[in-house]
Amino acid sequence: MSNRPLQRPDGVISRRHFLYIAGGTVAVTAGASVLAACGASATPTPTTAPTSSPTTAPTTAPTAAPTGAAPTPTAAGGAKWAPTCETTEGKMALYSWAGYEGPEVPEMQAFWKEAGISLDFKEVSAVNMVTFMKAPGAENWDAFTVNQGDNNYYNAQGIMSEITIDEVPNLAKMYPLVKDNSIWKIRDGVYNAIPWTIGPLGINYIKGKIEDIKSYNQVLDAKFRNRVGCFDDPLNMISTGACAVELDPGKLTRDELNGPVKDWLMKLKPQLKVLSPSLGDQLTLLVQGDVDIQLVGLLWNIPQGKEQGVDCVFVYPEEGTYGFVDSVAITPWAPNRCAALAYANAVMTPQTAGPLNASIMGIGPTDEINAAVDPAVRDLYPKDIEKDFFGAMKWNVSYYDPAGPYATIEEWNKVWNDVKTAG
Amino acid sequence: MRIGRRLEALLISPLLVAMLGFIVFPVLVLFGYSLFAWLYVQPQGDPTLNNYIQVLTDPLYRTIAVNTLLIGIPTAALSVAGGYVLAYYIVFGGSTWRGIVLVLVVTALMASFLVRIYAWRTLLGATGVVNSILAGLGLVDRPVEFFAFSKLAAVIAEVSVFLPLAALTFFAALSGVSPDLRGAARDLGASRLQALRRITIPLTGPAILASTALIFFLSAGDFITPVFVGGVESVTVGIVIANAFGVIGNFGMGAALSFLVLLAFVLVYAGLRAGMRAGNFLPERTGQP
Amino acid sequence: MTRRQPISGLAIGTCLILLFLFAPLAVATLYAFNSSSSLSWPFAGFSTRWFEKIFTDQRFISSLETSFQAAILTAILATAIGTFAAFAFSRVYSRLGSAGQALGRLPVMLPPVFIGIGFIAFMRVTSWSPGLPTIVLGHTVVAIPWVILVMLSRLRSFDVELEFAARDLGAGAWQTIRRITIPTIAPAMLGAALLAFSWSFDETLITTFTAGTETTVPLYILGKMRRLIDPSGNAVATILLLIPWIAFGLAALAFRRSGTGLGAVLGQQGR
Repeated sequence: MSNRPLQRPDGVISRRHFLYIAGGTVAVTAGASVLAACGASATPTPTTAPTSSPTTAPTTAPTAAPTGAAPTPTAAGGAKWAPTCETTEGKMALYSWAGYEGPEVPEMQAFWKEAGISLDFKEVSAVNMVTFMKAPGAENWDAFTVNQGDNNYYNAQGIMSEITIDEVPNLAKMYPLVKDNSIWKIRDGVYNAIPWTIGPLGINYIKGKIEDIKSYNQVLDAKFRNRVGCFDDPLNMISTGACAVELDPGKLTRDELNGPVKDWLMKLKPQLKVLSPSLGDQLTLLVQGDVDIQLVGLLWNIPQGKEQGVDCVFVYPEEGTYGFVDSVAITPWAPNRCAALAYANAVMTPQTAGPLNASIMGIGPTDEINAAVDPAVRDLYPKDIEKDFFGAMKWNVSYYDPAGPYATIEEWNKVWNDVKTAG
Repeated sequence: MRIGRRLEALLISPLLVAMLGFIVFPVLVLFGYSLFAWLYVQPQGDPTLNNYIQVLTDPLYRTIAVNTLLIGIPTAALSVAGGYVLAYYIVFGGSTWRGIVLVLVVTALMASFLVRIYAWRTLLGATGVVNSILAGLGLVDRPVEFFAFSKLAAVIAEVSVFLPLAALTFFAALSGVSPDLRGAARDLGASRLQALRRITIPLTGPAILASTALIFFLSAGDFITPVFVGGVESVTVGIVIANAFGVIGNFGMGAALSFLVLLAFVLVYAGLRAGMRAGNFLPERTGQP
Repeated sequence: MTRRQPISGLAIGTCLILLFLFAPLAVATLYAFNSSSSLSWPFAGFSTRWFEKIFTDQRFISSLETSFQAAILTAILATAIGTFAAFAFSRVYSRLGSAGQALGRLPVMLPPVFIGIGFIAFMRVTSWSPGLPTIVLGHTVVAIPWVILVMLSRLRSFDVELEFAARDLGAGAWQTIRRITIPTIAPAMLGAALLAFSWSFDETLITTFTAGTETTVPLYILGKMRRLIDPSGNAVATILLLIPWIAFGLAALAFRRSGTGLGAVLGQQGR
């Protein structure tokens, strides 16, 4: 045993050193939090929803009758943006396409503020709402977007609630073709969703870079081999295929689906280079020159392309093409139904719906709204919307009854998967 | 300070709860899911092995399996080879740069996964850095297409993610190889290459085996990289599984596919081990004859 | 006997590989400062407008908050659970211990997609809703093995004699822990916590399943990648690179302090 005093062994630090390091870490973390907080001082931050206690997720399909908190009728007037509600304040969770909340539209930003709603927005990338709304976590969503083909399908799955004309008065002003259409109307005065934006799907490409494209079949030309992009989504791709062979995606039989439609898509396959996971990605690829043509093209890509300095054009293919009518659906279990109703009203009120539609290059379901849409956009559509747009476009429908005469969406999924993985 | 039985159990219990509760238990639940057909996010009907049968017979899954192999095998091979080179340099390189290289490797490991994918698109795309350089040097007159949105791009991107992981594993393994052994081999007349092949590699054999199998497994499960840089030819098993749970709602098929992939991984591991043993890449089994 | 060696093939190979690993990172960072909004080469000019743009984006700020919250909670939880377990593993050799160690390695051997879908199953069965708690749990479960790795190697090289000496000198069990054990392993614990933090910050694959209505920074980037072209994604990416690196740098400092360098810690893997 030596008589040397005990030396502190390596690695043991004194309390002071430990405090320095810990303090440094805390300072960095605190600094970052302060930075984040400063950036958040402008608008009220959506606080994280405390979900420490398990909440029951809807496991059985609720009936179409509204089971969420019904807005209590109030004294004359009610909340400004939701006549049947006392107040529309609070958090709202919206699952919808990018841009549908009007991030760059001043009138919409003013609306959100006025209605006192702090919006929790999540962008749709994959289209199957049923899966999303039946999975764990669905109970947090107030509203989501529905494509006209899916309205009946989703409604049958019990993920949509009834909305009355009392709650959204402007429903009464819709074009008759929309107002009395069983896609949205459940019975007089009652709807399953609020259709508010309408547009076509077609072909995008950059003008001048390649020859002018006029039809879907032109895309099959050998010179575009491995130069075409599309949106990786069965609903849109099968509809595209159906239109390309001049069939109706709203009335596609199994034979037609597995026959001419699948054949056309198989011919398309060698042309495809990328399956974009999102619509936005499609424009990126077009601008960056990785593809020359995009299928499932939108009018929206025109102004977006302009921002990136390219002349992106939209073409209505000669064979005819399909359109979309997107609507706002409110979940039966919406935590804040009144805020959702406020949004539903906002997309039906000309002073907000006009600029909102213009920002996404769409038009609305009432004359008043369309009068408020910027002429530059309005002129892209025919004067007589009912006759020349609704009448001329094809409309896809999602069938879900395996015993019915038309192919179901499951079968659409299967065909698109087969095409995707074909050799 | 000795630790009694009770204290030991107490200390380990949070770990056990976490692992059993969030990994083992869900795996059992997933297995249950795989035994049913699913429609509209609900299990239907009676338990059946239909999902498994469908995966094994449907040509759709054959293509997916082939895609996964064509991406996973090169990824694993390149990551392991590259990682070995880096680790070898760090441990045996013998220079002042060793420490720096180790730090760089760990830094690369810590670098964001998404950023790398994002950046490879910029690097490899038609108007990206690589093509622009090639065009500028006059080597090509049109952008080279297959750099991006191809299996090659998926492999490149995945290797850039997994290589540091392999390097770190080999660093640990090679650190354990005593330099005396190599020195002895050299003294006995072995060339550098022979020493590498007969001594170093077999001693690190288990690490090579584990890394190769693991990286292949990780690559199969990656559902973001192939989507963003792999293009239409890179639909892998991971993508299908993630879609089954996220988009399509067919939990049964997704779960069945997952278990089959797990089975494939076990088979790959066993096969690789047998192969390595046969090729004398693994240390001889010590045991009393 | 040393002799000057020419630059070996090994060194060249190492250089090339390192270039390969860092090229994408350099490009991403470079483009974050690109003044033009295109992602094409050549680089147009230097500007910080993308950073301004994201810091005024409410969704980015809230995703940053969520990421920090999740990462801090993950670090605390994973370090606690991992350290307790490592403590037991290093002191006692028993069947329970071996089983525990094997279980503890499990998450690293599974692809993240399996863990993610496992969480979906878990949430469905327990009717638990995805959100910050599930994000944290998902991260913690995968961070624990790394914490155990670090703490186990530290605890094994920890000189147990010190504790015995303290006990011999009359210190009580709690005193021993407080005055001897904890200060010795504290730097390694801090390092492990920072490792867990930086890893959690970047985690993407599992989080896509466990996030629900929440967004973390990686999910925000994913959303941006799906959206419109915009180098602001690169700006976010640069931040996503820096934060784990800063955290990891601090961790390395902590390891240096603990007497075992980073190299030694990593080198003890699996022993």
